[in-house]
Amino acid sequence: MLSCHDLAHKYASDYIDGQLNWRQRLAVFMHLLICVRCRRFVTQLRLVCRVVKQRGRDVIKGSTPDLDALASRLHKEYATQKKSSSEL
Amino acid sequence: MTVSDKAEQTDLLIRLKAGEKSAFDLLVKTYHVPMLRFVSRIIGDAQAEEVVQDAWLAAIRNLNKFEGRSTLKSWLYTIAANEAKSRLRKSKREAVVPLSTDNEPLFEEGRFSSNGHWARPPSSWHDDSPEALLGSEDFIRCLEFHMNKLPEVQREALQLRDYEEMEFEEICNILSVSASNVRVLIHRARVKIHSMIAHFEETGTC
Ligand SMILES: [Zn+2]
Repeated sequence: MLSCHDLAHKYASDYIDGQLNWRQRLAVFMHLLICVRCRRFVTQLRLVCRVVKQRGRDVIKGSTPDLDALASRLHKEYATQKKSSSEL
Repeated sequence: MTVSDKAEQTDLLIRLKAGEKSAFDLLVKTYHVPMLRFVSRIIGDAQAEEVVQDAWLAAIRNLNKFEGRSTLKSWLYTIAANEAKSRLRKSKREAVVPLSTDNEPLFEEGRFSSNGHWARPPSSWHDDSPEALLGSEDFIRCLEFHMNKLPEVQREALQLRDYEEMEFEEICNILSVSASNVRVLIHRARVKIHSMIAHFEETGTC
């Protein structure tokens, strides 16, 4: 029988990410049916994932980089490189 | 236009290799800001811009050798991660902390009883959505502090999985660690952020 300790240390994230085999998945599922504490833990861990995602979205750079200039520079760089390699 | 599916990806790669200007525009427009965000998480905002510039130049140098076996995105992220790490090593003059050195226990002592049950179970949180939690400036500061405190590779793994929503296989390639290690890294990172939120919810302090 899977313990709370094992679930919290080993299986919770893999359960969330769908990385368990069916046997492990079933064991976690059965445990969650009877254990309100682990249910809470897994729910909160899911919330952690969503917080990380949302925070990533919120972080917007202060200065918008000049993408056109960068693209032109890289394009030129590539053209030069191609030219020099074909001259070899 | 986006670069979402395999066909668009292949098409873009062909046009890049042919040296089409519009392909370079699309490439930069699609990936520059995400790369910047990813690299800032590794090395901090101050150096991120420079590192990503270097990564772009390295990518252009290797463009002809790239055959499209992985996605363009994970190829670019791998290059960016390598640039960031070599910069970090130079500045710290020490090796990147290897996986095995994070021996800290995942939960504080006494959290579980000897029979494996919770001794101190997770408390309930009154804020139960990302919006509610991130509505507090103090919370954001605390989150940033703890994200930055994570071992670098854990932070990257968390970012790639939960923010970028990459597949495990891609994350393995980018970080050059095995699938089982990636899973451990992600779990450790999430549990640490979980502890931070729990503490914040209980005490209102970081
Ligand atoms: Zn339990």
